[in-house]
Amino acid sequence: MGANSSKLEKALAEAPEDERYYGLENFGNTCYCNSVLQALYFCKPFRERLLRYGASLPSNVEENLLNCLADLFNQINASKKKVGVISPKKFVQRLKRDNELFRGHMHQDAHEFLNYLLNCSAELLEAEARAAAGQGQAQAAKPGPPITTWVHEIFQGKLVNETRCLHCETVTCREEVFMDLSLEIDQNTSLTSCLRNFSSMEMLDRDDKFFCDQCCCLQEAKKRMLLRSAPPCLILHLKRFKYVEAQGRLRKLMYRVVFPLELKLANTTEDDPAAPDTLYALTAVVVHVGSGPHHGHYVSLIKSGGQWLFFDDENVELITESQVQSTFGSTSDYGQNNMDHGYILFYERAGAGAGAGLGGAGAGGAGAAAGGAGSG
Amino acid sequence: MQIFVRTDRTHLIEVSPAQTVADVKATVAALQGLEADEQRILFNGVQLEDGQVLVEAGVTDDSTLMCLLRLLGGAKKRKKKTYTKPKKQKHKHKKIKLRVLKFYKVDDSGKVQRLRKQCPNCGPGTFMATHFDRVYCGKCGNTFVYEGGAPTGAKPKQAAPAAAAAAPEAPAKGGKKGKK
Repeated sequence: MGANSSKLEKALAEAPEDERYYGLENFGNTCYCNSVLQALYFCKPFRERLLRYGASLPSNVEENLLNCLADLFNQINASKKKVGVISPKKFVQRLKRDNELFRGHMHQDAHEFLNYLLNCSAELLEAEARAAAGQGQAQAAKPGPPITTWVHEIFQGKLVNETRCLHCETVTCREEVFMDLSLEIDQNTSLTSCLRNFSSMEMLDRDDKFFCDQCCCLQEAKKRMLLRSAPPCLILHLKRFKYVEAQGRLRKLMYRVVFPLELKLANTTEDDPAAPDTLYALTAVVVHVGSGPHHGHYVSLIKSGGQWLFFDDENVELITESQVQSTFGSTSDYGQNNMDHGYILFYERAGAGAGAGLGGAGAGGAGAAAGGAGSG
Repeated sequence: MQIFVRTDRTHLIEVSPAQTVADVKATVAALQGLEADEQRILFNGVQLEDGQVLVEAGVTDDSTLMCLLRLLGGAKKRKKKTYTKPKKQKHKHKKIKLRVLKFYKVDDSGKVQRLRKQCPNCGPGTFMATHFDRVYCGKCGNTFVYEGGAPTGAKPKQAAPAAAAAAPEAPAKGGKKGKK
């Protein structure tokens, strides 16, 4: 490890001075946690807000998941050396204490963990905000209107559900929020087409007829989900799993799904004319390594300072962009030799504050164009 | 009320607000055959727990629930060991035809001499293998090491009879025994 880290140090000589690249120790099957933490650490808006939050906390605060995380981030951030290994022991212990699901030594789903972490953080912040606002008032039991915390600001977007009754043509709209989008995938597709697919019209017929309030009976209907507003950091989750009814078992889908380094969202509503032109840059990929859905390994690929890095528990390595592309998946059905598949993708809105530095030289032209559209 | 549940396609299911998330999972299980505890149900970006009542989770008429599965992972990747020493060569059995002929010697008077030491545990008839510094019984694993590393049977010229303390019957023959 020693020789390895010094080599890395040399390679990272050009990386930003204040950036830290720390591996995270694995306490027995906690790499689902490590890979997600790395991706979040390198999600700059999140890290900055969390560090600020951590700094603002009084020293005697009761330990919770969020301040454990803030502590860990701060520990990494305040380290003198550029590279090293840190053990997220306190955080993992807290996690295991707080959540039954993650308590055992079982393998876990990284997306489930990410979702839990984000929502738990948001909840804790909400509770704090509420406590600060309504001190003395005994209305804690009432949930009240949802408070938008910085976790929401960074990751939360809005979807709109449109259901059109085919009989009376009434359109029912429902707005729902999301922390990440879970996309259905197909063999040999691209992320863009998966996104399009996500928002495509779906027929509701046969057993799934829609009860139209206008017609007061079940009717065939069409339904689609559109993005009303996308967050600064968009998390996309590929549904690389499928239940094969015929075999009665779960399968991991090895499909090749190309995810671009830069993404434009096409499936937005017309509310915001600039939205389709907003450019998102890929910043991190959480990769599932393994042949089946029941066990495997998680690693993360992260872009920092124009350079791709590979985080595998305590190991950190420099990699090239082509290695990132090798996690697209395989074209053959059972991906014989390629077991690494992108599972959760982190995109950051280009030009969104801290994210500005992330677009490399290649992003320059397109990024400028998007910026122009945004300001216009 | 009716809710949408999106698996790989959208289902419409009829539930009452007082039902729990587990009920929804059971319904999906009945529709698609996948087991309830494999499912994860998300609403408004939050994963719901089995015991939660739909209305308390904020699920209302026409809400869309996302139904996901899991990809488990967590294994520590084993580090590849780097070996410094080359691999040990495994012992290969040497086949000598009619090896048994070497165990006896018939002298001029027609008397049979047994050239190998016999195992005291296994009784007469069980010969012990003669190695350069020890004798070994293949049947029970009994080993006698010659003291001072002076092999009796191995090399005739070194066969100091006194050294073979553990070989009661060996000394006399020791010198004669020409071990290959």
